[in-house]
Amino acid sequence: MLRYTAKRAFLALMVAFTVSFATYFLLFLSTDPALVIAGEDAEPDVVAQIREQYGFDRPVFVQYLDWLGGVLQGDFGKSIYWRQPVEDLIISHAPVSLQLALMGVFVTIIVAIPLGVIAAMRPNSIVDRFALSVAISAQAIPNFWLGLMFIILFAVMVPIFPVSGDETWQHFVMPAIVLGTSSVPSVMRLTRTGVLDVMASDYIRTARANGFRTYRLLVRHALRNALLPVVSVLAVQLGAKLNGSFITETIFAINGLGRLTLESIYGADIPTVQMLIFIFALMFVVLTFLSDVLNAWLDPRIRLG
Amino acid sequence: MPGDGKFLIVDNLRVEIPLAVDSIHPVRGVGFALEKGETLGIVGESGCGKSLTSLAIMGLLPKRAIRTADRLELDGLDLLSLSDKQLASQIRGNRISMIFQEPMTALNPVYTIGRQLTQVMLLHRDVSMAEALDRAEYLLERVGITAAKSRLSQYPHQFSGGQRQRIMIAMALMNEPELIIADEPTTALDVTIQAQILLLLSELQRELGMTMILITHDLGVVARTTDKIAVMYAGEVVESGTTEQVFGSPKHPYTHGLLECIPDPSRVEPGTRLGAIPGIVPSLIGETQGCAFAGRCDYAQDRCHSTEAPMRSQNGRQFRCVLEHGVEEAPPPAALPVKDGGPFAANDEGVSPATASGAAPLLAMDDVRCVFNVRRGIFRQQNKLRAVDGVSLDLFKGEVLALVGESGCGKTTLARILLGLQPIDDGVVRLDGEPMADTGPRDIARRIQPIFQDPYSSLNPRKTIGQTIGRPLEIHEVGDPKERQAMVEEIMGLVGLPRRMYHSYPNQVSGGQRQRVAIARAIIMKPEVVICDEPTSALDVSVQSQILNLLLDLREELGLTYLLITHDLSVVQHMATRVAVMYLGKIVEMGDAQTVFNAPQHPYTKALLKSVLSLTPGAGIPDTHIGGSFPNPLDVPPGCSFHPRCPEATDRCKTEMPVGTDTAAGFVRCHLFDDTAMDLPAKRDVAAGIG
Repeated sequence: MLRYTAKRAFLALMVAFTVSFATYFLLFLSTDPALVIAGEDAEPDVVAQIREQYGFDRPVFVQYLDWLGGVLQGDFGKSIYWRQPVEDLIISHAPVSLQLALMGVFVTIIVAIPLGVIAAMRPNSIVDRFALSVAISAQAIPNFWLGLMFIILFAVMVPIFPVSGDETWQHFVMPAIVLGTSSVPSVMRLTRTGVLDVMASDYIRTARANGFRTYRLLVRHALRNALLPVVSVLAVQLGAKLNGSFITETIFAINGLGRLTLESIYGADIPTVQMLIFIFALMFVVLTFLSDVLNAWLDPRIRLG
Repeated sequence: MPGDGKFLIVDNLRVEIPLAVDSIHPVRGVGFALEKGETLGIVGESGCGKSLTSLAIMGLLPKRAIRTADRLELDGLDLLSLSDKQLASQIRGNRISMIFQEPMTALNPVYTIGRQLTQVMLLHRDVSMAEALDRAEYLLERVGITAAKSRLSQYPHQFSGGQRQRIMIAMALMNEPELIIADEPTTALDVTIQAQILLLLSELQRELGMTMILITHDLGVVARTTDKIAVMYAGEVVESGTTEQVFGSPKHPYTHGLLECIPDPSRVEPGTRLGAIPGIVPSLIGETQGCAFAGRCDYAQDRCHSTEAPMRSQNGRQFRCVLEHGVEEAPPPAALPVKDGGPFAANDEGVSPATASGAAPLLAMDDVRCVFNVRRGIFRQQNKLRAVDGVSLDLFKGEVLALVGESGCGKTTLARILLGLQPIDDGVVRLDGEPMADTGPRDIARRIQPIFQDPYSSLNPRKTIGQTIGRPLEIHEVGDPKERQAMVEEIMGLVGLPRRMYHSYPNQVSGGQRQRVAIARAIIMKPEVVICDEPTSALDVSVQSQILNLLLDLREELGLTYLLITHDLSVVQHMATRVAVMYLGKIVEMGDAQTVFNAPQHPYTKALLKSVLSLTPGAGIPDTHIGGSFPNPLDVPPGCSFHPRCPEATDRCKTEMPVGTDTAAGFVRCHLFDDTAMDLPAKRDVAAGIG
């Protein structure tokens, strides 16, 4: 297990470096940063001066190493638009996003997994049909509409939760439900398929022939196998929630990484955008690593290969 | 009432699975009774309701299925009156255990063996974890898993197939059941392992006084291990009685037919046509009229199709047939398909094996090696898997060379090499004297064609049978579409496919017919060599005999040469003129089929032959005297690679690989024969001189 983890960690690190390299260069290829800072109408000599001042005239590779050295020491560069260190921006916005994403995934888990399991235990029954219709609705309803409906229903008409903001945990309830709902369909259906497959497997037949049934059969013999693929999908969903909840954050006026990204892009804030993209990519790398390790822990065939 | 006082009573057991319009009746009034300690064998083709009968006894049928029975009693306890909950808590895994076919998937991959074994006991008995672990350890030792204690914490994938089946047996014994139902317990295993497992099962049964139901399609297994037989056909028991009665003098035409299908040299001359049951098991949808077997029966009369056959009782045996005294007294059916001529000697005009005459081989392998580099993970060292390790082999025109060995020995790689599909790392393959490397893939494909094991996946499901068979003609640009169709239809007639199937798709025809399609595709270009890789392993014995007959006929008609790759030695014995035995990439013995079967030399060949279960009622399972299972081909033992399993291994075998000797009886690679080399007087003189 330790060996496997170390191997995965090393691979994750390699991927992280590749990603940092790629994000840095892609942004450089897409635009001339000096021109962006100086503004479209700037005189050529001003642009040249900025280029020299920021070090854009050095070879790209040197700039990359410089940037990477800074990042590794906690210096993420200075934001052009917000006029403060990028690390401060990220530190101030990240916790809110993290809380929202974790609560969102929590909602997904407590809704999708039980629903998927129940649906699979009685395939094609009324329960199954109900679960399926929940899944289809959740897939069809856009996030922004659901968000607005929640605000109208539970903040305006029946004021249970605050309309917007991110001061207390109550502020996160509605956005988390909205955010969590979006991944219910995929996770639920994967759970359902997983449980159905496992229940039809030879080893479940063995367990049944040995006298196991219903609850014990499910919990002691089926669930662990059925949830193996779900773990990987949940990791990806969590990553997506951490990175891209622009819409939900905007609707509920939550000042997280999503909104920071959006505004930095509007402000042509290259250092901030660059760092955010890198961090988003890094989150996926880390989450994939964690789900690999979790899967290995759950599945001895991976662990002991 | 019949069966009173018996240990297990099943009377008029029926299973019905409702469909949208009609319903399937896979089990139709099955009945039998067993004394304590008896073994019942249930035999029949697939789709006859054998497995569903056993699941019905356990109450483990699919949810939609409806089970009814007049009586279903275990030691006086009425199983019909128990709820599913009561069945689960009192019967399943406690008083009745099951052993299933697929050892590779029947254990839960994510839990340890110890957990899976103890759970069964903890569920039914009021014992502590420590007591359950003790029992699990004891049983693992008993079923032949060494170092049981440490292996309890291992997972299923860390055991071989044979070991997993042993673990399944241990699991079934955890609560000392009174009845064991074994459903094809050895079907997925190699022959040597099969013999070991069966031996173990019958020993344990005797020791623990258990009653057993053994379900299998392997009549040799049943004949040797059971007291009673029930032959099932289309959901009914068509014949039952003691094993000796049923196999000694079968009364029902179906039983008779099944036994005729078996390539058993004690009953059928090798190389002659086997008996066959034409047709397939009928659909089990709806109620049948008359005798279900009438459509395939050589003895069928008009009334068989309209009235149900009566169940007849004679000397404690039963059979369901219109013939009052069964097949024996009826005149032999018009022509039991035995072709005149018989053995291979009949094949004159060059078809007879050309080995002795010194003719040039059609296909020749000279010291061929094929090594796969296996790398598990990027940081691990590369491992070399020597799939074919210095094989020299000649295939002469007209012969049937059988290549035998357990799974993993390199048989299939060798076949791929001969088909030109697998590049070799060393040595040379010659086709008619020309190196195969210089022959284009099209030419090879025209002259050498394969028939594979699985007729389900070796045919493209989106192509009609006509298209599939005609595809080689298209590739080689033979004729115009009309001529091609005529050729396809001709070849379909030759392999026994009705012409109306030209436009059918593979899923619309039976398994046997699919294999006929594969054969038709292989022979349409009139190849010289056909490589048959387990051509009948996926088929029922009744279909197997049809395919084997077809292969023999085609050989005679078209002068084909076969390389037959199989692990089924009874098929080999029936078909082959010459045999090569392969072990871990090397040929260990090769010679004339009759010589090899009558006087095997290599200990491995001897063990393989011992594991062949011929139809000998009550003979029991022979001990093959070879231990363990087939080694990991990535980790070949040093010296003679067979030495860890060899009963005659010496110290020399552990370090030195024998080079192989040509003895009077053929080639053998074993130190026991180092000094018996034939026609090498020089060598012998030298040896004597040194001595």
